[in-house]
Amino acid sequence: MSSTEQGTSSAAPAEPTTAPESAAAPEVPESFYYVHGKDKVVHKVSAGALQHSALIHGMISNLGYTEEQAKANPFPFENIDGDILQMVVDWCNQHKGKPTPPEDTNLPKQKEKLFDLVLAVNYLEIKELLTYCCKQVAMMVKGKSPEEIREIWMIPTDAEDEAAEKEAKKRAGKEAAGETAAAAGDAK
Amino acid sequence: MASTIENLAKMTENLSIEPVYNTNWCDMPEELKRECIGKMGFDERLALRFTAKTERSLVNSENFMFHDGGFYMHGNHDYIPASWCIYLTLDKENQTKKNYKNTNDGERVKSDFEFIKFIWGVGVFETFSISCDLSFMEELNYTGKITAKNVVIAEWCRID
Repeated sequence: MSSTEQGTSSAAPAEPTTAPESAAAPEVPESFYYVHGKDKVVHKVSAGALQHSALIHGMISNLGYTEEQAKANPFPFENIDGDILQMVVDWCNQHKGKPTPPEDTNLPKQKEKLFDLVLAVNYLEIKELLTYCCKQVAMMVKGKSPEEIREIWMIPTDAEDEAAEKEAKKRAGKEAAGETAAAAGDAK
Repeated sequence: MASTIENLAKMTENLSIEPVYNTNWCDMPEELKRECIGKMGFDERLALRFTAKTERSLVNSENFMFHDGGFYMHGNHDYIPASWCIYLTLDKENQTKKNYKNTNDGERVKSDFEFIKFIWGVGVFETFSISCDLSFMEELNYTGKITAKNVVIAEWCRID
């Protein structure tokens, strides 16, 4: 601290000072947990960061793992792609203990990745990130015509939908008939 | 030959490392689609309504906040084909306004009516003004509710 600053601070009226945090409470070492996705790559994440996920937070509260147990038993999320889980972990780390801003521009712009992220975030119950992701999905179609939306999101037309349904019914009927015939053959 | 097989094996190995993304809008559960629709602007919702039946019913079931809205009919629906218009103010700050008029096209009456029902059905209005006669309301056959903090009904309006 410079002498000028010292002078200023001493001249200022005495304000009530709060005791430094370390003096009030001894620092508790942060606990870490481990998660892995479909690719089995294990990510080490602090309990603070994982608090964003209601699902994992609930699991942690129920399990009462020690650090060793947590290391030996990473939470498996086989339904989430490795890089999507990486994105989620990064977001949780970035926003650990911080109030979430109204906008988040760091989300993926590619639609397929974004939809995978939405599904993962919904599964992991990360409310704030889900809000951002849904906003991003909504932004994808901003100013687009119905035809453009259909193309971007690969939405089948009603006619295509009906044709696919008919085809599926036909196939199911054929399969059922085949099974009945096979069963009759077996009975003979 | 052996090296070709080795190369192919390597290629497949690399391919399997790259994640394959097949997820799209249609793979999303309804609740998530609703969540996304909830974040869409009015124009995007209108456009999404015209993509497919499923999307239409989803958009129709999600409320939209309007600052104010009005439905005004000109002429008497009993004797002459009345013309009508819908006025919407999307947000108070920017005063983004939308106006829709009927097409006066006999074949499009059904879709016009459907549009009125859509607006009335999803709209949550700060103030809603209405001015139309009973016979029009009977023909429209709107059985839902209109959600508004304040409702202004024109004096000549014969609606109970």
